[in-house]
Amino acid sequence: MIERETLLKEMNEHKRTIKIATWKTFKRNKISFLSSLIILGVGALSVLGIFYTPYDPYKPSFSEALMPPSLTHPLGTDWLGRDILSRIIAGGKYTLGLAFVAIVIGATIGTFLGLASGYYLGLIGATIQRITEVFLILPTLIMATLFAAILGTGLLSTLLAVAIPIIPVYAKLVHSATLRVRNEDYIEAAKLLKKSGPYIMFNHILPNILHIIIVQTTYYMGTGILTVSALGFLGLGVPSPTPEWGTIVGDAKGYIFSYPYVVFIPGILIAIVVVAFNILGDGLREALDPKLRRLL
Amino acid sequence: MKLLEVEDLSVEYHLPQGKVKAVDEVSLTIDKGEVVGVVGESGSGKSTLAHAVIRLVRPPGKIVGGRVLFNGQDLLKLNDEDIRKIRGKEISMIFQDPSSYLNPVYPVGFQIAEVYEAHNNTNMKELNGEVVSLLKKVRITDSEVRVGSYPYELSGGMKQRILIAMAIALKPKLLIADEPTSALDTTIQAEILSLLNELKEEYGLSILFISHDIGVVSKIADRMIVMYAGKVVEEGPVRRIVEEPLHPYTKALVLATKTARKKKLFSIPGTPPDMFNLPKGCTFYPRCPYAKETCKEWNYKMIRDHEGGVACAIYENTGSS
Amino acid sequence: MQFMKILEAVNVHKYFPLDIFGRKKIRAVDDVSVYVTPSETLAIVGESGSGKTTLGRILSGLIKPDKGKILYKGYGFNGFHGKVQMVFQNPDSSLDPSWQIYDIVSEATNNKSLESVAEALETVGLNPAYVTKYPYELSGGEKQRVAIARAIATEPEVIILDEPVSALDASIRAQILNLLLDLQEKKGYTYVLIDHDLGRVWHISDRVVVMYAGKVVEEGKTEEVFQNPKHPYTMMLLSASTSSIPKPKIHVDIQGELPSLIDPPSGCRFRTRCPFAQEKCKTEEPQLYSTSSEHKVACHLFEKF
Repeated sequence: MIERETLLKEMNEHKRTIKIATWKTFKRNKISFLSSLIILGVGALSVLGIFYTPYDPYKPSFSEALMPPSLTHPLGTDWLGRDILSRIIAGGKYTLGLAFVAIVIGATIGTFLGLASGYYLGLIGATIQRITEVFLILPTLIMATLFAAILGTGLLSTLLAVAIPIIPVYAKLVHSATLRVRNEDYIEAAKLLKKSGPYIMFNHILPNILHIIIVQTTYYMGTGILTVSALGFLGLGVPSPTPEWGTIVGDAKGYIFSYPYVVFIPGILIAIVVVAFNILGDGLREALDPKLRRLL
Repeated sequence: MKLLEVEDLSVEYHLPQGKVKAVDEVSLTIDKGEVVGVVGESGSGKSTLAHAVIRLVRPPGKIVGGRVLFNGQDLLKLNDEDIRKIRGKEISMIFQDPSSYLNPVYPVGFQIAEVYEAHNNTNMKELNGEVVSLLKKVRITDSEVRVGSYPYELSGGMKQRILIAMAIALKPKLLIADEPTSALDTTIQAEILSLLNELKEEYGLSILFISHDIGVVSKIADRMIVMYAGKVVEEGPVRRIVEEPLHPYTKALVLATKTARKKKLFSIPGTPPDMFNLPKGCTFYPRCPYAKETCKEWNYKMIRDHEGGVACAIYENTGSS
Repeated sequence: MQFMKILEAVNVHKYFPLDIFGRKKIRAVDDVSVYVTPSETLAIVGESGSGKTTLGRILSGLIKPDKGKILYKGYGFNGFHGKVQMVFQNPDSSLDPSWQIYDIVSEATNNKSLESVAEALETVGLNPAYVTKYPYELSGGEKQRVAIARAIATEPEVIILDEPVSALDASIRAQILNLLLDLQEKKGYTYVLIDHDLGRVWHISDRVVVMYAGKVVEEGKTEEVFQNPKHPYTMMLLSASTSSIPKPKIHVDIQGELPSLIDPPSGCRFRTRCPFAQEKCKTEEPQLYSTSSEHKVACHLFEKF
């Protein structure tokens, strides 16, 4: 049937117009758009760092120690003569990568728990929420420090130390978002159509709270980077000589007055990325809220 | 002299999607002690009209033309200080959702007393007796106890009575009621309507009563104005309109209330107009069962007689002779 | 029994606990029995807080009663069987805002084909091209039509209409009511109409159940109950209505408000507002007395009216 074909085509086109409108709203917020470019740039450099760095980020070269920024070393060298730019490029995969993986793991587990506790309520919900609240007593960073101290240093323990404190944050957030949606009549209608709990959670509730989760994840990417770096700085995270950004700053802190760029360049980079994620979150909040769609 | 004369009042909303003429050159008059009902559906501009009369249109809405003469004085020309003195004291207002107009952390008696204090500088303590008698007037039982109640302790109907008490506290001459019973049960609605009727008899209060329900308006109003897409399409005495509606839209509204058992209702097709894209000519034309080709080019015109009028091309030739 | 009861609630109770110990409970529905026969329209009327909405959700299976049972074609059921569907009051809440109309309606159809969705939309008077739209692009009346399309796409037997037009504009209400009457005529659906507006109840229902504070106070054929009401509360409701319906012989002025459902009055729950209340009404709870074969009333004084 011709009519059928055109209708199906129109359905997909219409879905696309909404995506385009969302993209347009997002682009309208210039600072937020700039932030996303910064994040993409830093991300691309970090990916590059897996394959290539201008100099070996690990190999000491005492003859070149503590050189100020120059043409050969654009960001200078540290006290072992290692090229700071190379170390930052190589360290991106640790700082950004760890934060990203940890947040995704924490967010996924937390979202599942929050959906289940918000949808089923009753005993399941109450149990999940009470356990969640215990973990929420302490701020994320202190919680992460605590876990890092227990689990020891290293990649995997840093990953867990950052991921675990995020789980209750998401469980709580998704729980309350689910509560707001679960009593909508379209949920009741789905029940009358004999749909199962998991089906309703993933097809009706999740799509309607996804924008909240995405925005929150953007904010928490900033927090995650900060936590990974803070643990590195404190010597509780990824151990040196791995060029994780926080570790770089921590190792170099003795030179803060004599050779400030050794400390400040990676420090400022962390700050810029964290702030960029926060601004991006604000922009996404505006662009993704389905309630604001009618105004497009 | 008329108490309120609204002449060619226009209100526009400037939104990102375009300009909306929510109220388009609307005129109406209210005599002392008269109840005038404004009927229309969502988007008709009835609520904007109510707010515009006391200059409470929220941005991005803006009054762009016309006059609002209250006792001969143009309210649109007053400065902010003077209009504030008229609001509450001379003209007061009640709304659809009373909860959002009551402060949840103060007893209702205190909130009523505040109305006196704001306009008269009287001492709060001396007002208790007055507040209690006011609550009695709006038929709140155990009014001595209810003075100390908080809004959450009261039902929707009670809260609406409290709001009415606040509105009549300073014995205003005009009460603007914006869908005051739409959120209430039928029984409570009937009580509020009879209360308003009583207040009208007792104080000679004039009421501008806004509602989407022609049945409710016919219970309380003397005259009725029917609005569609920002314009008045019909006006006249309630009895005449209910018994013999002229405009096709009014006809549809009236016939839709004439419920016969298991029979199809008279219904008009289509949906309320899209205010961003109003049709040219008569705005009701796309839904009108009597529409002719000429309606597309019809220019809005109210055909009046001594009682009221109708804005429809059907009556244009016969009416003018 | 001459007629089959397609859906029936037998002595259902639903109390909503206010604290975790369950000492204080809102008695939303308190020992209520109602039934509906095939292809008829049963109306449940009452003020807000009368328990009519809770009863509707119990009948649909969305709320499990604490006591009592729901019978579908004479058999008890647990959970949902798909033959009872519902149309909700608020059109903004009844369609998933992130789904296209095609997805919303096809969720209810068996084969999910575009043809069956288009057919369902045409049945409710919508252009099949609406499949591409999202709910926010539709007006209130159109949303309600989609909700009806979703309900009928499952080929249900009973449709529970929870204030189906209360949230709509006056000129749209008639369209939707006509559509509902049309569908019933063509497909023989059984309707349970929950509505506070007596005009609509008079218009489309065959039988009516009047609820007050969680109890049934009167039930019977709509003509019978409207023209010859036996319960003072029914008279009060009829007196208060602004619709064009028969006026009761005895006009009962409205007074007071719904009593507490946590600690309802002893005896007859309506006695606190009843102009005819006597000593007996305080001490003894009235049964549902039969005044004729199908007309029942829960009032000690029904013989007087």
